[in-house]
Amino acid sequence: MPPASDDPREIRIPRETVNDDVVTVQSWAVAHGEQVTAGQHVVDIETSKSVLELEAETDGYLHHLHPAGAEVPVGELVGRVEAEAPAADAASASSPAPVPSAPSSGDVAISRKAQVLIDKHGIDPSVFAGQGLIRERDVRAYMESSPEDSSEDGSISIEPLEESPAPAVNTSPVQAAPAKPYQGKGLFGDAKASAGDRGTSMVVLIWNYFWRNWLLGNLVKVAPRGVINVLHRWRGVKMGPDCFIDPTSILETAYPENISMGKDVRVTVGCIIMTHIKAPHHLRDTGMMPAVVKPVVLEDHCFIGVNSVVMPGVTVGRCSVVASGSVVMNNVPPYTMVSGNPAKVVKQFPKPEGEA
Amino acid sequence: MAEGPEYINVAIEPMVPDDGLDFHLDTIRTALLIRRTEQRLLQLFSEGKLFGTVHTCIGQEFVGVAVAQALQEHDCVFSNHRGHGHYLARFGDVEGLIGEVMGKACGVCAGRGGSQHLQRDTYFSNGIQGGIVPVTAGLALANKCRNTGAIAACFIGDGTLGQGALYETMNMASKWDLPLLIVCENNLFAQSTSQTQTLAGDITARAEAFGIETAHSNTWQWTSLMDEMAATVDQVRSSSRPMFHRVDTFRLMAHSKGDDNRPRDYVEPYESRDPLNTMCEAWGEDPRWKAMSDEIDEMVEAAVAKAEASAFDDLKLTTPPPASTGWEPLQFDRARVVQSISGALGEALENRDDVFVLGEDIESPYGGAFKATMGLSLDYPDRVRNTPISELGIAGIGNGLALGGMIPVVEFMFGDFTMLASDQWVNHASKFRFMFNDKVRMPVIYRTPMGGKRGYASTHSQSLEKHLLGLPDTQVLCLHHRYSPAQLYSDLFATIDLPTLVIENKILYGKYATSEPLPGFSLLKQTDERFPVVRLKPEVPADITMVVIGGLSLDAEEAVVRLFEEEEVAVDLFMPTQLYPFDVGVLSESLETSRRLLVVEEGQGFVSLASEILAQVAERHGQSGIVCKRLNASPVPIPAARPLEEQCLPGVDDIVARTMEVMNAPGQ
Repeated sequence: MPPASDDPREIRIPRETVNDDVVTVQSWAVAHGEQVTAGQHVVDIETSKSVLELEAETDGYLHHLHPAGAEVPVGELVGRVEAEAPAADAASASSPAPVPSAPSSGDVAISRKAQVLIDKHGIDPSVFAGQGLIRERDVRAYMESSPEDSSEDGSISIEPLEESPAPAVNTSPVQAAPAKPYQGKGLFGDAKASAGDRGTSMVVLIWNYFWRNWLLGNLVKVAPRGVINVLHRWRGVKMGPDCFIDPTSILETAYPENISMGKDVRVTVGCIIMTHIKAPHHLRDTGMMPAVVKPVVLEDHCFIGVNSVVMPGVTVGRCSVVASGSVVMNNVPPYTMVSGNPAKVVKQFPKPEGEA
Repeated sequence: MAEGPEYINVAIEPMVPDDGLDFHLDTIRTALLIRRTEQRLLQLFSEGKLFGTVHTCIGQEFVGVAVAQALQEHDCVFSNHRGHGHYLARFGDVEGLIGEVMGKACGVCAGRGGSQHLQRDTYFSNGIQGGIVPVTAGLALANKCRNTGAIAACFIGDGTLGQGALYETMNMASKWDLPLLIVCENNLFAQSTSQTQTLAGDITARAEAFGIETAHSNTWQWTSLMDEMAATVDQVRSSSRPMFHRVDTFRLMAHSKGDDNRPRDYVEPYESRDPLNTMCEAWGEDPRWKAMSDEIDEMVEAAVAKAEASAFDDLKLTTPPPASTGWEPLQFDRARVVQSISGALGEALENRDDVFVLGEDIESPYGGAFKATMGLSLDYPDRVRNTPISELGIAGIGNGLALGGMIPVVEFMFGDFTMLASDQWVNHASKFRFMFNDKVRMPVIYRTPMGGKRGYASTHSQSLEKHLLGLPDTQVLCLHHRYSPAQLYSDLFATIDLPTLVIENKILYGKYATSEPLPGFSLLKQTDERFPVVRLKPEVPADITMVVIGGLSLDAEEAVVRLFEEEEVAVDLFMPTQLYPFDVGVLSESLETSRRLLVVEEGQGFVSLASEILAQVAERHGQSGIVCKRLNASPVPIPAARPLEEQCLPGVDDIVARTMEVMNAPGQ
């Protein structure tokens, strides 16, 4: 049957039975990258009712978007027919589906709090093998029973930056502090890297804290409209043309250089764009809430509604809208409206044709 | 009081056959036996020796005699509340009847059935009017499937003409060429209500509208009745087509003892023209009549004496064995639920020729509204059958097939429609085995999808199983994603001995049933149970015990994962495959550790399975302060719009939130 799509290049999963929200790609009749002609049977889709044969609607080269064995939601694209063959390295889709290996009895579930601790202290999760459900208190108990692990000394330098030998799985917990090499995802990493970039000379400190953050940061609040963007650029904000930044908004107080904005971005009254979080000493020192410095990206034409907060690390996608009063914790995909605290997707805008 | 209908038929002269007593001795003897037995029963009632009431057919005896003489030994009979005459005409078993009506162990059903529920060999009766008609059609269908050459006869009254089950059945019997005889005893009254108040149109025209041939006799010209009934039975047998035989007659006594409001001068003309009364007048002094009459009286008295000497049976109540508390790992092949079901049905049809599948829209290429019977009708065209939209009728035909020795599988397209068929579940399927003193088996399977979350709104989304739970002699099973539907069905077909309802939550059909492990948990099933409870047991001591019913298992498992990840709460999740009977003993070990219980059920919570479980836990663990809560649908009909439906029905967020309520509630 022809796929349920208006675009002849698309091979989309049609709704076939009332049972299924998800169907399975049973097999591709035509390999990834092969040439197909309109009307050619290209893929078998297994529904709860039967096997559906989907056809190409146009001539061209077949691109697999899901491998055989994959479970794909109804309405989703399973493949495309393009004028050009896909690049060779993109052919991973046609490799057999990863068969979920039966996890051994050593498989454990780790709670979010426990995972934060494990990440923070670089503990190898395999030390918990066979313990079933791992809670925060299990990780703490492990750390207490591992005297060589200095992770509870309260200092910020606990992040094991240097390579340490990979711990043996069977190492007794008392013996070893199985530290993981720093992989760049630790919460301190960005902060330290950022601080390092700036150097520590007096001149730089004055530049940063007096001139850039305090003087210019306050100047934007009273400056005439035409000057605001210039001042922000002086502060280090990367900003495309035609942006509007309201004088009552705050584009980060300490690390403005971590903000990147495309063109035609509007940041309205009372908004705060944050690229760092610095908790009280005690919380930072105990690891409850480590310091965070992460870049924020506001892509072309995006709109930050009145009194919204954008948290560190967030990318607001092209043409997306943050509704007034939102607190954006996660990335916002393009052409999407988010709202609320924490902000959740409330609307998808139709993408103009030709845009991925 | 309601005026009686016009005097009809009183102009017909009663038969006193010219060829005399000799030629018709057997017929007259049987009729007189019925008359005398029932008169004696009325006397016993007055003496306070009967339980309940007694419906007599005094004045109508020749109908039963005519049918009994026309039928062959292996033919089936289904009678109604006024069935003494039909029973005696077939078996002449005065002792069995009187013993039964007196409730004694020597009765044909040992006192369990009583006057309205007699059973012997292929003779059955039930006190539910219309419902017996589809059951008889099921017996006819079973006979037809097995080529036994037997027919099935059903006795109804003119009062039954008010019930829809009759019309559903006549439609199917005609369409399917069933060897079914419907005998309508038209005695002008439904209990106390005159036919003139309740009957529109013509009686036989009703059957003719379905293309069913009809015949018309009366009990005054009883020799003609004998011949015409014999001809009808022959035609049903030879044509394998249903027939409707109307017999005009008159009930001389009350509907049941003591409730006759008809004036004497209305009844009298019928009484004086009653064939037995007339014959007694004509031949009363004949020594052969006297001898016959005396012999009958002796028989009846002997039966009464035997019944009076007989003891009452003991119910022999047994405590069911406690639920198994052993657990073993569970593993089965991952399969889509709907395909697992259709595979199991196909296997049953393949392996045994007594399986018969019927339902609305189940034949291929459509294959059922949810595709659970896809392809089956292509492989087994004789035993997979599309039915009209007649839930009550097809449920009854299923019950009749089961009585006839088949294993019927009846699909109700939506669980909501089971309510249309509930009479067959409540008053027939669940009653036969017990009422008939364990002499019959009822291996009938009803399948139906329940549950919402598909946008089908108030009348196609409900979880109504609570209305069908708790009937002794039934079992209610359910599917969930952690037990193989194929396994459940193959065990069911292998061992079925009770009417069984299987709830298939419609959200499950497109999902996979899987025993894939969940990290940190082990998947276990109860040992030594045919339909085990499945348990997702955390590998650490549990903080809370959770029971989830049916397809909500998907949401519950997601909630279990989230509860640990976000809240560090370890849930011990129990997913029963059998909802009735259900014994909470299976939870005891877990509750002793967790001290907290949440029961999650998609249906309404008031008087539900959840309330039953909580009640049992309270009775069993009452003093130990276990914190209990349940989570059910909000008390509104289910709305169509998805966001509204989500607010109404329990989902992952609700399960997480309610679990935390239990966790945060102060324990004792």
